Order: sequence, then C-alpha cells, then structure tokens
Amino acid sequence: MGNSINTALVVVGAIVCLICTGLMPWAELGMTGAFDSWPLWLRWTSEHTGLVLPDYAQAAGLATDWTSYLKKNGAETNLGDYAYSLVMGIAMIGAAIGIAAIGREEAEEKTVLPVKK
Amino acid sequence: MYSSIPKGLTDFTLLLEKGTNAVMTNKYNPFYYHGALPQFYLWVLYLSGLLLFAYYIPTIDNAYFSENLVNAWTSVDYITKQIPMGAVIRGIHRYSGDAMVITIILHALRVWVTDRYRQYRWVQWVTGIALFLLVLFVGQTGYYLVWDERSLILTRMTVSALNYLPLIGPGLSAWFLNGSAITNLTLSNFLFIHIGLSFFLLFGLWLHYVRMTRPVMTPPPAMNYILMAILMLVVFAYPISSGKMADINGTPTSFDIDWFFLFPYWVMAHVDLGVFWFLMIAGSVALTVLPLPNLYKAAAPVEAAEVVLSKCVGCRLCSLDCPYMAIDMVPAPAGSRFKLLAVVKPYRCSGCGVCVGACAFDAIDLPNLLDSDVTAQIKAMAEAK
Repeated sequence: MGNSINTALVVVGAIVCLICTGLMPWAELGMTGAFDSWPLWLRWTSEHTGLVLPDYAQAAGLATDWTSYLKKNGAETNLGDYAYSLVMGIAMIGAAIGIAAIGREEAEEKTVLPVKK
Repeated sequence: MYSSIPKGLTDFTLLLEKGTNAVMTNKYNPFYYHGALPQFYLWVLYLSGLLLFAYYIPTIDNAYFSENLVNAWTSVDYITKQIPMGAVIRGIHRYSGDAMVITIILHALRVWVTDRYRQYRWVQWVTGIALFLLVLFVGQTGYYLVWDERSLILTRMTVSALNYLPLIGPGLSAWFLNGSAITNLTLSNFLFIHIGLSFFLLFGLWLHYVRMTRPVMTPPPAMNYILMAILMLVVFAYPISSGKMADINGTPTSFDIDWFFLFPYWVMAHVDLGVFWFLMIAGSVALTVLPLPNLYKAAAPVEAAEVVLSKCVGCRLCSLDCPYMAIDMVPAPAGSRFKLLAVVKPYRCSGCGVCVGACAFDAIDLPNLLDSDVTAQIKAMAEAK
C-alpha cells in the first residue's frame, strides 16, 4: 500500500516538474512566448542549427488576468518574473506535500521504553 | 494570578499540538520548529540581501556618476525593473523580513504559554527579546534604504525622536545621520547599520543558543519548501513597488505602513515624543523582566540533580545528554580510579531527569524524585493492572 502511494506521488511529482520546467521560460518571456522575446543567443542557435524552440503561442492569453492584477498592484515590469514565482510557489507546495507524504512512515514516533540494567 | 495565564494556555497549546501531530506527524509539526522558523527566514534574508547589495548604490544624489541621476532610489528601481528576477528577489527580501517578525512573535508566544522562558531558561528569553528589538531596528533601516518619500519621512521622524532624548539624543542623532544633516554619507551609514547589525544578529543567536545542547535550528526540507512557497505566493499577490523618489527639499506627510516593522512610527505619529519613548522603553523592559522569579509562583520548585560521587565513573553520558549544559566533567580527585567526575551546575538544572536515564551506574539522581522510587511506582502500577 505504502509503496504504491509513493510510486503515484513520484509520477505526479515528475509531471508537476515537467510542467513547471515548461512554464519557466514561458514566464520569463513575459508570458507571450513570441520568438523575438527569446534571448539573442537562443534565437541565433535556432536560426543556425535548426533547434526548435517551444511554441508558447497557445499559452499567450493564459496570464491575462495575472497581468492585469499585477499591473493594478503596482508591478510595472517583468510580470513574467512574478508569474514564475507563483508557479514555483505552487510547485514547492506540491514538493513539500510529496516529501512529507513519502516520509510519513518514517516520521511516526516510535517509542522505545528504556530498560535500565 | 500572573502565572495562571500561561498555565491555562499551555493545555490549549498541547491540545492543538496533538491535533497537528495527528495530521502532520511529529516530524513535520511546525510547533516543534517554532524557534527554527525565524532562523530559516534569516538565511533567506542574507541570501536575497546579498543579491540586492550587488546593485544597490547608497547615495541620495550623483555621488559616483556625472551623468543621469544615479542614487539609492534609481538603483532600487533598476533592481526592480531591469534585473532579471530583481523584483521577485526584492519581494522575497521584504516579505521574509515580515515573516521573520511574525515567526519570532509566535515563537515567543509559544515559549511563554508553555512556560519555557524562566528559571534556567532566562538567558534565552532575555537574549530573545534583545534579538527581536534588533531585528525590528534592522528591518526599519531597510525601509530607509529605498530612499523614497517614506524613507525621508521615517528618517526625519527618527531624527526628531532621537533629538528628544536628553544628553544622548544629539549624539545618537549625529550617529544616525552620519553628520548633522541628510547627505550621501547618511545613506552609507544606513547601509552599514542594515548589514552590520544583520551580522551582529549571528552573535546574538550564539548567545541565544549557548546554553542549549541541541537547539533545533533547521526545519525539515518539506517545511522549508512550504515556507519558501508561501513567500513566493505572497510576492505574486502583493508586488513590491517604491514610492516617489525622496526630495530632501520636499515635505511628504503620509506613507503606506508596514505594521510588522513600522508600528513604532505609527505610535510616534499619534502620541507625544515623551509618551512614545516611555511606551517603547517600558514595553521592552517589561518583556525583558518577564522571567523574574517574583512575577510567578513555581508549582514545583526545581531541585537540581545530584551526583553520587562514589558511583560516578566519568563516562560523560549524563553530560552529553543534558539538554541545558548543566553538567560539567571535571578531573576526578586524586586517588580515584577514574579520570573524570560529573558536576552539576544547579542554576542550569531543570530537574528533567534526562541524566538519570542516561547514567548506567545509578550515579546521578533527583533528590525529590529518586530513581528507585520511580521504579517502585512503575512496578506497583504494573502489578495493579
């Protein structure tokens, strides 16, 4: 029972990690994913080596609410940074739940009564 | 009367603790890491502060550059708007300071309600109060560094408050401003105070821990993740922004208040300076003297453990196990078969009995709770069943 739960947690954790890894550049690009927003060296690499950069065009409208919320609250630029911190925060809570759940069996208090002499 | 307040709250706290254990197990119960939580945030503050320090320029005008306006405010603006993740790091630095104050208050409350602040623990309490006041002051200097209108108001309010003090006031004011008026040197001084006193906190922490054998200083990884994650979410929810750049010829009159650090300024704005100083000093002294013996009546006076000299073999087990460093190992007297002898420092002993359990030779005992009596009681209880 314990092992199957752990396996499930590992799988869920891996998926969360993959999603967060994908979201990181998207957030860093200002949540648009436009080719022109990628760093210069990556664009150069893409044009000269045929490296395909992930296309975030589908996800461009995802953060409209976040953007307006952040602007309203005084965050003037680098909104992607804030979005990234949000995603990382959620990912870390997931990681914490995973670690705590997997370590739960070891965490149970085992009382050993000392027998003297 | 007074001592009944924390005692009543102890039962409630233990109940809460038990409930939390049922859900989170004792390994991840935040109640068991209440002292480590502020320290976690201190490490976060050091790290994020180091990153901010790399780009911060402590001047109020173009002290270093001849072109464009480059000062503390514009450097903070540059960090926030231009440096990758700069705004997030700034937010993390700011909110981990707030989190540190919150967790320190919770830590102190827990220590108080569980009655773990007096007798042999008075050093921890008194150093804890001093550390708390120091954290508040260091945090306030962080607000001066931004050099927006709020910084200017806070600086002026501090100077007027310091000047109010008789004898030492003008000297303190000149030290605070690094001169007689606000200049570039003032900002340098603020930065020096902010960073210098931050590292002085480490010395304070050493004093705080010096009488504990095994202080819990680091929460488990899962808890660290949660603490960091909460910071990240707060950074997103409440982005940090500076106010208008300070103009020393201007007279701004209001600012957004951060209640965790700036509440003394709120008090200052609402009462006379004499009353302000009275409240601040009286409040600090009252907190500091809380562990004084005549403020409470001990339910069971502590009787220090006693070493049975003829049985002690100098094995060190009791000394190693004692949580309060109350047992010293000294050279055994001449003629002894053993090299060392255990000696109890009564003023540090809590009478917890850990040493009695650690000793394999019946060489240490509690005078009011003898090992043999405890064993007899357990036997009687077992037989009664």
